[in-house]
Amino acid sequence: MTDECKLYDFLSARGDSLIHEWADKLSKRDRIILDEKLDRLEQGGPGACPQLVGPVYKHIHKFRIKGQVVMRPMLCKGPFDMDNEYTLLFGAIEKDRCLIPEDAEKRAETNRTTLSANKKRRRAHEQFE
Amino acid sequence: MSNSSKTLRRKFSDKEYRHVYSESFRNSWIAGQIKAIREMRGWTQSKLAEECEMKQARISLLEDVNYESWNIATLRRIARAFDVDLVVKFESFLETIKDAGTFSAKTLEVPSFPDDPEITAFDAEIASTNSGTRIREENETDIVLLASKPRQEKLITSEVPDINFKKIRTARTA
Repeated sequence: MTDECKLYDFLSARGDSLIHEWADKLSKRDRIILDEKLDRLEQGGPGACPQLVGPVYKHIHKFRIKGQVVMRPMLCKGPFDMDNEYTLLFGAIEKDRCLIPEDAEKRAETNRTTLSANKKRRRAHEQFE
Repeated sequence: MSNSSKTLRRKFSDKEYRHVYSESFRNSWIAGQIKAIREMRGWTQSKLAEECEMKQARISLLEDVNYESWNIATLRRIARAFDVDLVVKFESFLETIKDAGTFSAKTLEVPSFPDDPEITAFDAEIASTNSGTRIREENETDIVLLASKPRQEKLITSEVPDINFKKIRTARTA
């Protein structure tokens, strides 16, 4: 993985960004923090953002961002350019060490598989606020 | 000016946005710097912990972009271990926009005083432009090191009125 990377949003069948739909339900403060951390990831890569990238489930990176709630956006490397891209696949929060929704990792993995088969199911990431 | 800087400038018109973003950015920056400078030195977290007289778990906690409970005394201990300065000051949001625009693993790195090429260049400038300037306190280490090499003793013992850091550094690395 190089230092800089490009971020993409996975799109639903209707063409909506799932991560934006999820972020719309967060507080404004948390969306700003999310913007900031994703900006750093884009500029410096995971190496410059210690502990932002959490544990990996299959191909899914469960980012960990603390705001008023613990945000757990789910991303994957690539899936087309594994060295220079991340795609935001699904959004979750963490409460009492449990993901909400519980099946967030599986849904993110399903979205990754869908995207791998259809490159049009994503767009360049845009900030939340 | 990059597009991201222009975007940030526009968003900073919102007071809540600029304050929350900047706080989060400074948290990312400091955590990233601790890791980047530690790795630049080739240190493990345990080594840094040892140098700071802290526990490794504490270093791990500080090297987290989500950490926000910074303590100046703790940061001073880390700065001393890295042999770098710690600057805490109130600043215009324009500086945040500029810093955010240049963020990368490389820009987080800071060399220690003896390894700082800018200090070396500064010394050379002093030596060449102001022969009357005396900066002796930083020279003690150099003198000790030079004293162990007879070939270079001349530099120390010849009553040179103004110490030339550049020459000394060249001699030290010879």
